[in-house]
Amino acid sequence: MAQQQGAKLIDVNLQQATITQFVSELEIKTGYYFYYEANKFDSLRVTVQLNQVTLKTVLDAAFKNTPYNYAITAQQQVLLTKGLTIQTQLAAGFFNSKPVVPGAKAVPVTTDYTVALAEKQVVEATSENKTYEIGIKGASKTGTVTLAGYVRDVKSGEPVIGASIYIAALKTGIATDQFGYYSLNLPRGPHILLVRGLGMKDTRRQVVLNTDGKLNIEMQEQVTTLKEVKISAEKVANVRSVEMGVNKIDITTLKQIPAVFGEADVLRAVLTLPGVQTVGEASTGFNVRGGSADQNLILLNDATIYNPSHFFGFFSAFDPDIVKDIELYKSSIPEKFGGRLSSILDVTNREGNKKKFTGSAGIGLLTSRFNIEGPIDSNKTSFIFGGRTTYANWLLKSLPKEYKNSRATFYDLSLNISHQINEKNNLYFSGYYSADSFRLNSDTSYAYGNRNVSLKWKHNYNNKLYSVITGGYDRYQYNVGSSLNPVNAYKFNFDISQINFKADFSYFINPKHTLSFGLNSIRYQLTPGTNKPVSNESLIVPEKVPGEQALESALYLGDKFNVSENFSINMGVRYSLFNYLGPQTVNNYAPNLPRTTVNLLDSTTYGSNKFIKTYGGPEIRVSARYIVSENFSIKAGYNTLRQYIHLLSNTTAISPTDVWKLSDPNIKPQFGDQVALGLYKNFSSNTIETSVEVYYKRLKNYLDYRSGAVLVLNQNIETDVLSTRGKAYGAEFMIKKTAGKLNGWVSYTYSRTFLKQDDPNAGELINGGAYYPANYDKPHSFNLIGNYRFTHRYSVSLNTVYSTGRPLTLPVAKFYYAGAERVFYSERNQYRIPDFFRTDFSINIDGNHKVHQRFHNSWTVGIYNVTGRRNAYSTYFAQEGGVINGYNLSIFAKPFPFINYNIRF
Amino acid sequence: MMMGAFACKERFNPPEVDTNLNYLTVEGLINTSGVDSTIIRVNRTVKLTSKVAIQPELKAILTIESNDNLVKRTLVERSGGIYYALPFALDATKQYRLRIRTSGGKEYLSDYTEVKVSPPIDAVGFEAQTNGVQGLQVYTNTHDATNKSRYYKWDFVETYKYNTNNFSSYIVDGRSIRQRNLPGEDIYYCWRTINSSNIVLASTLKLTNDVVAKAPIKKIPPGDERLGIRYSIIVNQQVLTKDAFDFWEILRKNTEQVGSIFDSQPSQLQGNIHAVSNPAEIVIGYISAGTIQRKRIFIDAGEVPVEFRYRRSGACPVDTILPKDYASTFYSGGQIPLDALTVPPSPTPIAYTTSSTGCIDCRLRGTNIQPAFWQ
Repeated sequence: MAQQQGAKLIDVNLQQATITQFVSELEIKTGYYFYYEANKFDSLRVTVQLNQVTLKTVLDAAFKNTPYNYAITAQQQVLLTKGLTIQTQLAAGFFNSKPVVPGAKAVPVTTDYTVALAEKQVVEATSENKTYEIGIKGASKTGTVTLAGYVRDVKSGEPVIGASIYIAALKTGIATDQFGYYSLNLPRGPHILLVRGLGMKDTRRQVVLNTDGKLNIEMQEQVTTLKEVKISAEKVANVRSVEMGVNKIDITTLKQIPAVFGEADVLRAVLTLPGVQTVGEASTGFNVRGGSADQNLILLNDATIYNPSHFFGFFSAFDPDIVKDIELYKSSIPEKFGGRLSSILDVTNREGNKKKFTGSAGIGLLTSRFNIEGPIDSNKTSFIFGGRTTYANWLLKSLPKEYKNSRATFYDLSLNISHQINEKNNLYFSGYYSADSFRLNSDTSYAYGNRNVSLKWKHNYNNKLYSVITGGYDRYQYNVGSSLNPVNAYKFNFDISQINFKADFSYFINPKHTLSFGLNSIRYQLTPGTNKPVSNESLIVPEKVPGEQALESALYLGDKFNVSENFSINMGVRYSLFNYLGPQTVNNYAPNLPRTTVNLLDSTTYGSNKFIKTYGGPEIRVSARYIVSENFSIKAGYNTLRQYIHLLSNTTAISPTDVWKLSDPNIKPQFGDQVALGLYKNFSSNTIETSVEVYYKRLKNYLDYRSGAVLVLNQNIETDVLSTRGKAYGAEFMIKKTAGKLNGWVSYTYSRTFLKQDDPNAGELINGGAYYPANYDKPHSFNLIGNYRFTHRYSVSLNTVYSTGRPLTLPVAKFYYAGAERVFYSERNQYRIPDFFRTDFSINIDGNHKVHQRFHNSWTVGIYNVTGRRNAYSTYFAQEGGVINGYNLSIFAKPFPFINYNIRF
Repeated sequence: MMMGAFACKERFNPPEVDTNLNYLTVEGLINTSGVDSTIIRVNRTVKLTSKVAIQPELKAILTIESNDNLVKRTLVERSGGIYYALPFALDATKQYRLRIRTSGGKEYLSDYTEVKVSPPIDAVGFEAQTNGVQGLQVYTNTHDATNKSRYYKWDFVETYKYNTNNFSSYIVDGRSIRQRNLPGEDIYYCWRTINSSNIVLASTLKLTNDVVAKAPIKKIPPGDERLGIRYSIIVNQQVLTKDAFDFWEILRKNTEQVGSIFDSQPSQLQGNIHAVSNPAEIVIGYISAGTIQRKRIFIDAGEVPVEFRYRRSGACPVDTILPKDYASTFYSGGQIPLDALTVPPSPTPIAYTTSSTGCIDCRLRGTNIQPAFWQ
């Protein structure tokens, strides 16, 4: 036998042969059988040209300077191994064959290549143990190459967003974008990629980089988690990302926050973040870093949602079963976003499961929801559809007498379709439809709804450059109607619609520079109000505030510049331009006099699509990060923003009767800038994250109202608003425990917001022209979100919120007038309502965790407002029979139990 | 499921505001009709915690002036901060203002205001509303064919006749008891008058015609005592300028809003009266000029749906008082005898019945003198 090993002489001539080619060649020529683990050899390329040699010589030559070894048995078998040698003998002399001499030590592959492995060939990397060869083995062994690809969920085929790909040896890494796409610049040679994704099992991939190439990585869902894997993705993000003031919540975290009625709620979760404050109890309007509620841009799959709440704000507009994650930008706002001063809330829905049909349903006291997802054709196209509805009238019937005749219903529908045209092109369709209607005891009924569609096309030009082109249509509308008194029967309508176009490009130039650039355009069409009679007897004059049109455009360019390993800067500039368009009649007022009807000179009428007024200017977005040590970094940022649309609201919450108004020649756009500084430090191997951020903001042209302003159907709205200047500053502290049975976060925020109206030409000074606290100025705010997991199936969650009461204009004196005692109010916002405090508690019970059962179910049982504190929803004074009484209206003034049942299939 | 606790309303007492701001308040109408007197009330604001609601400004000198300086008419102080001038007709094409000189020597001026002559009230009516908030709704209709009025304000005075539970036939006269002289000494039927404390406003600006149809004036809750025997309401109508309307609207919003889910922020009240020496000084009030139109209606309980009518509740138990207790009960005790108990044939009562005074004496809440307008 030993003779045979050397006996048969063969000719071998192979160029860049893979292991398969190599083995089959030898099997044919020698008659030996080869045994090997293919995936361990797939990075091997064999180039040998030998004539009349033995098998052993061929193998020696082929595996020279590689980690591979071989053993030839007496049974004419060849065992190929990596790293270790197989002894083919059990004992010396048992067989005639001799032990095999192990191969030499590994050196980098130096073989020339001739087989052109196309760059477009995408490696699907599914195994941790394989080594993936990327690109074509080339002569060069220095320099860097680009590796790009998608990270996907192996089960559903959905992209894993925000997964981090980290190369420990180089201390470098990147996170996947909203498509699960990543692109990395790495030195040629072998690397180990550590991949971590939210709710996914950590995994790693071994690659050898030769030239630019693609590597798709599939990850497995973490079915039961003891350690929250999602957090490890943020380990990189928290300290290492250049952005500051960005908070991300994934659906897993979201579902652990106790929510009223047991339904996970996107906006309620956002409200627990530092720097974010609720407008009021049972309201999803929110204020970010001293900004008003209308200064938040709320995006759902890139579509603008103008009213993010259902049912008086008890529910947010986003279907928790479809939402994938939520990102709130409150400081470093990427240059691709604009149009609002305070924050961008970016809500992303999931892509449907590409491999099989799944779904879930939830039943609660007030709402039910259902969703289904699945492939449309195998692996290329998938859809996800969700719907929610309410049956809450019974709750309203239990309200105090004055609300007994109230009604409220809502529903919403979401549909997302994603389609992979080919490796380079992906299409995403997203649709959202919501409808709310309610009546609060009186005969007046309200109805409102959002409608959004968008189509997104993602195209990869090459590994370094990709683009996303988005087109969409967004609409928000409401109507208010009454028909009790036929003489006054009316229906009032408001709507705003916008057509969006966006082209966003990402260009990874090299490890030091990543460029983003693009352009956005929004065409607004706004109907500020129409009032129509609804009966023949009605004397209501059909009235219409003329529609408004405008075009908001922006060009932007940003560079993520890694100056050194520890120091990175994101520099961006966005030039935004706003054109107020005809047809329109614009009032002209006497210069330097208050804009009142008395000072109205004349008006100018402009034709259709005529440029009436153009505003614009550059917006600067800079943020920088310096890593002081492995788990400690400092970040700073400066932002300027412009906002061309205003919400006219005499109430502090977004209510369905508020009117949006575009900037026009008489109402200037809002302008804001912010400077912020943050310190980030992680402890206990990154399981405890701490951060401190401070900011200072300035506002210009924020609208406040004259006393007794009428905002609805006002033909001269500019006469009822006042332009104010503002300043806001604050500090945000956060401690987050990200792993272990006990996890959650504690945040404390100190923040102040002041406005000032000191233009003597405005006709009315507010508080004599001094700074006054804005309606939403709440200096102290504290949040605690805690989650304790007893077992895989049982966990408890606690949510505690405290904040200073919002400012209030108080009565300070009383007097007798028109037959009754009346009150005289203080200067604007000089007092405060009682502080807000609430604790919610919930128990989450999961069904068993057998992976292969048909249905998975879970229960959420909890109590909203455990302490039963009567937090003020509204504080007011009412004159009743000549006596003045102050009242505090609170909603959920007692512990409110809830239960919710969820099923997944 | 404790759903009743979903929303809850409770008293909220603002922190005491200790400084007495002592702002001047001025209320009234320069009545140009020549039929009605001009009455102006001048007071001061008080602290919220003050037990008195009215702190009158005494000994001020008030003068009505026209914009052509031809009219200068000084008002007479009647009492408690009320100043008046007897009816005098004023040219409705001129503008008028009010000058106030306080006893402290400070001078205040209202802005010149145009005269708003009110059109007559077409009708005051009522209807039972069973939808929404139930009640008997009193409304008014008016119109201005010239389309010039547009801004309306109403106030009203309600009067109703009512009776107590127990009829008293006897009266304490010194240290004796005798039969009541009816109807003069009757304390069973009374009339109660309530001045309006609500500000009722309407604008027809959004209507093609200056027509007010069924403007709600007053809603009487079902079962109210007003709907017991006979009820009357007189509605006073005034037409305002836009500025005056805004003032009243703010005043109304600030003080009469009901706690609703959608509250608006209170607004700072700005009138048309200013301190001459210090324009920044806060003066509360709006002085208008014009005329007032009135209309009165009566509503009998029989015209009201049965379920809306007043139903007397509460027990009024009757006691019997023996002669030994007359002094302590009737003569010095203030109780009122109802009926005499006699043992025939003797006419001398052996005892008198009585009950609590509130069950007998209607004058505790009104007057037993029939108003002159009562029909």
